[in-house]
Amino acid sequence: MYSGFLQQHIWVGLRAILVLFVFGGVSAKLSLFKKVASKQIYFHYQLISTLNKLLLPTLVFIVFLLLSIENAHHPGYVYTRFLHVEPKILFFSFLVAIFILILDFDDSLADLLGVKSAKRELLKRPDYLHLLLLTLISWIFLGNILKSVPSVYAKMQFILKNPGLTYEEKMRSGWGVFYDYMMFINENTPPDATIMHPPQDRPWENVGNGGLIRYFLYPRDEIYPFKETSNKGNKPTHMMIAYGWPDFPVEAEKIIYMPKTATESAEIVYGVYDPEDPRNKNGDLLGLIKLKKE
Amino acid sequence: MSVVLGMLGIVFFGFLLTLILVPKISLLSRIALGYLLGTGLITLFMFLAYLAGLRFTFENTAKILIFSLIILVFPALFLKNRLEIKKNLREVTLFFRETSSFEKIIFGIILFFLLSSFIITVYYPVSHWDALALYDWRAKTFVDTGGMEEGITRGFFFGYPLMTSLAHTFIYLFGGKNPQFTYSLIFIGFAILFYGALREFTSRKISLLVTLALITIPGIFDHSTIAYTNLPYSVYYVMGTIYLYIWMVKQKPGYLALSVFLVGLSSWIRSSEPFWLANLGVLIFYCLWKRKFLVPIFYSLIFFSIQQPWKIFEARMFGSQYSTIESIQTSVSVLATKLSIVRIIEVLIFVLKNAIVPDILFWGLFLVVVLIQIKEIFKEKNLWFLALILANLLLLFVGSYIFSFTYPEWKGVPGSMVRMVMFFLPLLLYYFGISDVGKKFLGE
Repeated sequence: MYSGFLQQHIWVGLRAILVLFVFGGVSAKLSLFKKVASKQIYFHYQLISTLNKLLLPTLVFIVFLLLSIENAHHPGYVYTRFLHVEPKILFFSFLVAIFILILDFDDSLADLLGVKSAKRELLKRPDYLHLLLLTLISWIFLGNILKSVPSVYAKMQFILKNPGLTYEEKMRSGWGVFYDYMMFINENTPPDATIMHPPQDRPWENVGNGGLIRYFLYPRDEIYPFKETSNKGNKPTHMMIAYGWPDFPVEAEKIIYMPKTATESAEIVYGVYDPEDPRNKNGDLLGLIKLKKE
Repeated sequence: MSVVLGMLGIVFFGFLLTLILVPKISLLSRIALGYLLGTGLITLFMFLAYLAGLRFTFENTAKILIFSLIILVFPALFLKNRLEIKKNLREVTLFFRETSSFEKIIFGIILFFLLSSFIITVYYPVSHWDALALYDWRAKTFVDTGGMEEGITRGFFFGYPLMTSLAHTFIYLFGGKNPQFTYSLIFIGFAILFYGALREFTSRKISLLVTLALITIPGIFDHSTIAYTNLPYSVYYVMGTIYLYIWMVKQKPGYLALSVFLVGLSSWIRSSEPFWLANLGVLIFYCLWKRKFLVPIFYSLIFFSIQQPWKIFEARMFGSQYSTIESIQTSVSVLATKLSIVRIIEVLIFVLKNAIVPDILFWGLFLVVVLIQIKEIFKEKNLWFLALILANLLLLFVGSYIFSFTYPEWKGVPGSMVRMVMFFLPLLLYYFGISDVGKKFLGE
């Protein structure tokens, strides 16, 4: 696993740097409160504070933008397309910037919150607990907003882009090929069919999940592999062909292969299902076997 | 259209009930409570009526709703003065006139999140795994067959009570296509009630800020847009706990009744969580101290009349080990016979890792607030809510300890633990919101 740029080149992780930074900041602020700080510390403190205020709006904009782009596409999208910039790292920089702003409470946050200077209890009696409290609250707010806003944004963006999608289209956008496969089974089986599905192991997490597929196949019954009868007492009438399963020959009346695209029609083959048949060797193959009546 | 009428009927039923239960509460809170109580109780009546022989059909459900409304309309008519419409309208006007720009911005952000949740749930169909495999599946079979036989014989039916499934059934029977919006309505109701409960103790500014912090918690917001039971359970349980606290501290009549109804209904959403015991324990302790001996009896009577029908039904289907008494007996025997220091440490680490660490900022906030007001911890206002949080925490640990003996693969369900403890976050935020620390923090 890649340990990160900082860890690899200066042997100190980002978290450690952040912790040091927070402690350093709190200590500097406390020494200013207690008026024991040297002129140099005061100068550096003011310099960082001013730079922070200047850069924060830009940083906020960039962080929101990148997180929104990432959410609108997929994790790692920004990293692979924008000069290897990881939005989470920028999020940390954002938190650091906010932390400096919190330390600078008397100048910025107090005005924003409309707190009158005479009431600034925190500044009159500064202590570690109150500073910690302030940091935690800000951290909670920022964490919440920064995680929730991109998620809302991505969903709303999809809704605005696709306002008129049908139920089927929405389900397909969430479940992908699995949904198409379930609909394929419904189209090719009568409502009283009992369908045997693969075990619920990899790669059949969805198609092998009896609880899940019954929702899509209702009122059809489902049965776990190698069971004689379903919970309702029905014997299997059909068997799924999914991702290399079944890997044993099956006495079939007919085999229906699911077409790859909506424009193609399903291919029907009569006779025994043979897993060694080159056609059935395809790992992505989906289809349905109508079992031979006993 | 009929689904809107059906929903209005549910809200109106709950609204009438609040008129009977609570003399003084804001109109908006009454509506929010109306929705929560209405949904919970009407679905419970649907279940009881089914056990009595009425199948799940549109006609039967409409009859249950109308009959329930008729029962409440007449007593509520005598209490219509409790509505205080003029006072409520004046308060709404004042809210918009007196709020600062900062408060208006916060209010706007809250509104944005609530509306977004509603739009998302109206647009997206029920499509998450558990919702399809269990909650909506049961509703689908109820509507299709009018009964539970199909669902029960097909398996994976029990384990969770029917509240959300019957709410879906209600929507489908009244002509609705997508019941997911009911979850965002619960979320909106939660925001209103949480804000109202904060206002009992603190300023508008703090109440708005803490409510904003609540509704933007990613886990809570996400769950408001999906048909899982975790958020509804948390909402009912949290508001029940908060109302219990308000009753303890302010002795406001009606809040105890609200509390027991909401906590009772939380067990109609998820019955395996034992947290109601924590509230009952603190209530018994409080009542013994204050010499209010009848209150726990009254509380237990209402609670068990809501909680027991499903438990009895489940026990009849599977055997007495599913009954409340048997569960308590098993738990006590585990505690008495299987004391192991190694297991205690293991469970402690598991709970810390999965229930505390993922929300470490909230727990940190709670700890800091406790430390800051440590000298005033025995003030009634600070003490009882702290006691409720700690009792729930203790129960989480003890429950996990017992679970570790009754379920050999207990370490394999960390995800469930994370979702189960979702209700702690609103409680921790409320504790911060009502504390004097919050007021000092914002210079009030």
